[in-house]
Amino acid sequence: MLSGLTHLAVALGLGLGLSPAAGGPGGEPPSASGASASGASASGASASGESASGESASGESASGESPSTGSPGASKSAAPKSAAPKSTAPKNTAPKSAASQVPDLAPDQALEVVLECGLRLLVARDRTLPVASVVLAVESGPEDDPEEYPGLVHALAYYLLQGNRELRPGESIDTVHAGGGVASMAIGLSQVRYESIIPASRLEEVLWIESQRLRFPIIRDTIWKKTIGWAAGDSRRPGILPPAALAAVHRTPGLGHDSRRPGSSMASLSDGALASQLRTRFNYARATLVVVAPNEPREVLAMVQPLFADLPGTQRKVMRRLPGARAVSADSQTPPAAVDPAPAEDPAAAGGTPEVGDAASPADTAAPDPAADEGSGAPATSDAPEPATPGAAGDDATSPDPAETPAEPAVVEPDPEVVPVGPHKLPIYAWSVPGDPASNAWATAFCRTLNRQRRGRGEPKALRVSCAIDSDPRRSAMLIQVVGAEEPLVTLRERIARLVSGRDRGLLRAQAKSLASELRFVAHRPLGLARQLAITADDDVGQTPVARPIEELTGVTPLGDVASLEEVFPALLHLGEAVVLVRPETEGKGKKIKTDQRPGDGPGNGKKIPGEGSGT
Amino acid sequence: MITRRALMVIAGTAGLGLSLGACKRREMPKVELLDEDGTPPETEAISALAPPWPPAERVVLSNDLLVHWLTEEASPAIHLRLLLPTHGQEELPRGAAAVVAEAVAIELRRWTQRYGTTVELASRVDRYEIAVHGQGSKMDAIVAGLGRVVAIQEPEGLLVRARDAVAAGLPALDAEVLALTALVGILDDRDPARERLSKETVAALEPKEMIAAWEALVDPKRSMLVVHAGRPVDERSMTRLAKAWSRGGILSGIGKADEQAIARLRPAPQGRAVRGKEAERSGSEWRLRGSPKAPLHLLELAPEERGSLLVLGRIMPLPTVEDRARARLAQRILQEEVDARLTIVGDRGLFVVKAQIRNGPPPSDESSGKDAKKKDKKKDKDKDKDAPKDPRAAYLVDVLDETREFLRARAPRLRLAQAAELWLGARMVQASLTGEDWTALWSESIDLSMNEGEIGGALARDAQAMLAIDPEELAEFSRKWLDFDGGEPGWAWVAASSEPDIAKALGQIAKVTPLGDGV
Repeated sequence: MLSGLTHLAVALGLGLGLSPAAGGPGGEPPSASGASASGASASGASASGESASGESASGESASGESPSTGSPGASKSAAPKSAAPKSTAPKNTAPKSAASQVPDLAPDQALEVVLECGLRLLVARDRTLPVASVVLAVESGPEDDPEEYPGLVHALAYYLLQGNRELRPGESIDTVHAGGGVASMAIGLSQVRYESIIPASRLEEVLWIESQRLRFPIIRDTIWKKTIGWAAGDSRRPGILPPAALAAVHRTPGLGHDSRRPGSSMASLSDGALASQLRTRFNYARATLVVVAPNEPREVLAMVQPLFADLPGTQRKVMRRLPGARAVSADSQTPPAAVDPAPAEDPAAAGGTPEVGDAASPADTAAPDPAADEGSGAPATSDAPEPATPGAAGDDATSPDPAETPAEPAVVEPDPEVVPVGPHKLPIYAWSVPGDPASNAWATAFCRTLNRQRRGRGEPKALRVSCAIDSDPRRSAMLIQVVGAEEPLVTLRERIARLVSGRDRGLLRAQAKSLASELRFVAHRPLGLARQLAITADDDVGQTPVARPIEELTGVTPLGDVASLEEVFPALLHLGEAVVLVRPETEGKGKKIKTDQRPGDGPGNGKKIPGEGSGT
Repeated sequence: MITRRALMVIAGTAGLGLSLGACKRREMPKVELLDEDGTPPETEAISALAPPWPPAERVVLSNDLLVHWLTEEASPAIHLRLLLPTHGQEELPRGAAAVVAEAVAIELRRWTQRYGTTVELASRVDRYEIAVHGQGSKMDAIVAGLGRVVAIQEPEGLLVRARDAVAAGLPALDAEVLALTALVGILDDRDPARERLSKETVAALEPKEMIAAWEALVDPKRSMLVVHAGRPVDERSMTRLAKAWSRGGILSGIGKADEQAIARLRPAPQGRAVRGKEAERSGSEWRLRGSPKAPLHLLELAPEERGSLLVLGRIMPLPTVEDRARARLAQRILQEEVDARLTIVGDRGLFVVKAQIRNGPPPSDESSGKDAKKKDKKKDKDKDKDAPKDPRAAYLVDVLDETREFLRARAPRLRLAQAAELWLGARMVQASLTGEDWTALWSESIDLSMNEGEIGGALARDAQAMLAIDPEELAEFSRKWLDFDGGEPGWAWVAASSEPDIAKALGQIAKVTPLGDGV
């Protein structure tokens, strides 16, 4: 019998999938060691970046990180010794008014409510294992860095691990580890998440931690300087696009810096300024608390409410991150013009590049609305191509040839804006994806379908259209490269038309269905579901608890109807909404940049999009 | 004398019998709920530390494959875990089982990846496990993929690829592997070389050897399948699987197969364990520094081989759930001080402590967090004229003394509770992070069970027993089974080092017995 035990020893040594820290035949639960988990988190998670779908193990993989790299205050021992429940943690008290108004929830529904302090709460139930996941998502990110302090929000996210008047440094992490849980932090471009997964018996303790995390910061110069060092130790964002390209795609200058390289100016930030920045960027009115646990949502609400009851009443202060220049508050959101071809209301409002123009849907057989063209006639940059009205395009290579697409209605659509940025050899057509699950889901399904489209009639054999998603909860981008086409723009336009209204609509439907199934699969784990819920948009939420279908929140439901693509993410269907990223040296002085194939870019010579397919 | 006619009648009857038997075997298998013995009542504490699975459905398919099926209503996921026992296959060449398991995983990945699955290969005591995790909506396709893999008739090409993959992934044998295999070999009277896999060993495997291993291991009569799905036993897909994996049609019904999971997965006791009274000793009859003193086995490594360490350990009987819980908790507490491992299978546990051999100050000097008592003890020790002169030996003595004192001490109740909650909580959290896969926990439950009926409640009982441990009980258990100087005999120790004069240094601690290459 014990030959197997010997085998264990061998397996441990030989790494056949079992390391002492990864759980061996003897039942050595990996994070049981708490050792591996110890301290893990902060640096690991942020280092591993973000994922729009939440399905990547970014947070989870953090557990293997060294505590010294950014987990200040975390215990280094294999078994954290601070397991005693915090005596100051309030115990479950009688439910208050909101709890008494909780509707009956079906298993596929989540509870959503905004507390008086402005915190949005989302609770869902998962009973597969006695495990709970708690995520505090704060809608601040490097995108909000003041110009003079690049990397500030990233460093502030770390600073909050240093405790405050209620939490000693590292206590939030130690509390999770003491119960055998895993804590992590994820810093996206516009959202910071503190995540924990714990045995359900520890839920109250962790909820208390989250109710204290953003309060009463203690400002100390020495701690701040250390924190800057920890933040600087993170690896670069693992996305596809460099910061300058991201800023161009989203038309948001705030994204144009490397947020993981804190500027030296931050060390000189005064105590008052630091406190002010913390209060502004990290407060409960900008946060969403997501709880996925085996408990009844009503019970969880009754636990949470008293923990925040002492905070003053505040309006919720979340800015919805919209693509391009339309970054205004949710109240004044304007649907992109593909469906409603109204002009952008204030192209320069966010300091982004003005819109080139809007376009009619390819499916729209009506003649282009002249008003729309007028409206889109906002001042174009010198790089922007002329409107792609048939016959009026300045570059034949970038205008559709009606003879090539006889089955499709005539489409009048401007060419995408060309931006000379990024290292990629071939042009990248990039769309800014709105920061909500449904848009992210549709972008992913769309991308996958493009990758699976068969060659059309007349298309060269060497033609390749490849698509990838640069993932981020709020600032994803869909990226397409066309290799081997004489007129990439025409090819792309035809491919998109085929997807929306042509023969590949069925393929799109199949990919959407497949993706929906995957999203359900990811959401069957508490942490997966909590991450998905943390990126949901909080429109029309009030202080009365409401039951929300989980699949509607997480973008699964819209995937069931291809027609919803045009409602959810109309810009996706139009090249005029895209940005073309080209390598700067290809820019002709004073001339419009051609987006077609250039000399030397023969079939197969195109540089593959780094990480291609990772998002799809 | 049997006439020719009589022979024909006998042959005809036998043939008919076989046919009838075969027909009978092909009937729809009977699905039954697995009985559960002694599952503790669900208290709040236990329910938070054990999975809430319902009683498993148990079915033996017509090809004798044993299936345990766990249903979680409306789960969008499916998890399949194929368990391939390796015990009783001593005639197979070294490494062949690993190659076969790798081959199954490779091919399963190939057949199911289009459905978005992930396939993992794990090694547990006396078995390999290949798990597939996918979407419930793709269950039929995934099971069909499994059926294709296990039904492969000509696996040579696949096995060659698997052999290359295994060989490429194997690190060089280091001091730790050599020492651990030697230790377990001594404790269980086995050939340790058999358990050491090297690139060369695996790369030298011949196709015919690997094919023989495939036929021996990928056998539905020996194997077991654990399923976690969103619906009850899917008879259609299981019937198809049985048909695909029939191993020769009509003859598939011949031969006896164990219908109990534990009987399939756990070998019958052998080696020292069956030699009468010695079974009580569970391994060697020595203490490390008490009487009778165990020889210190030494593996002298070549200078280019790195590492220098000492491993010590024992096999201990763990007949009750309380014993198993005490052993686990003792190990968890000890692990706060030294590198201690525990592997439990059924009623036996392998306990191993590993210590690096260092040429430096004693560990008590390295840590600033030690309390005053330890410092005082060290001072006393320094005065001891019998202390080894060699710093490496002195270091080891210090480690051993501290470990022993730690084991003899009584841990406060709060500390035990913390350690238990950490262990039990981490088990659930880990299961959640790796996909909420009940099959992995079920596999662990099997190892913690003594009979079929205990499996369902094994983790709950484990949690209950760990949370209920009294400090005195634990101290007594530790003194009896883990005190290598004064407790029950049954200890062995092995050092592995490439340092030239290590034998002389270790000779200051115990009588050193060199181990040859084969041990």
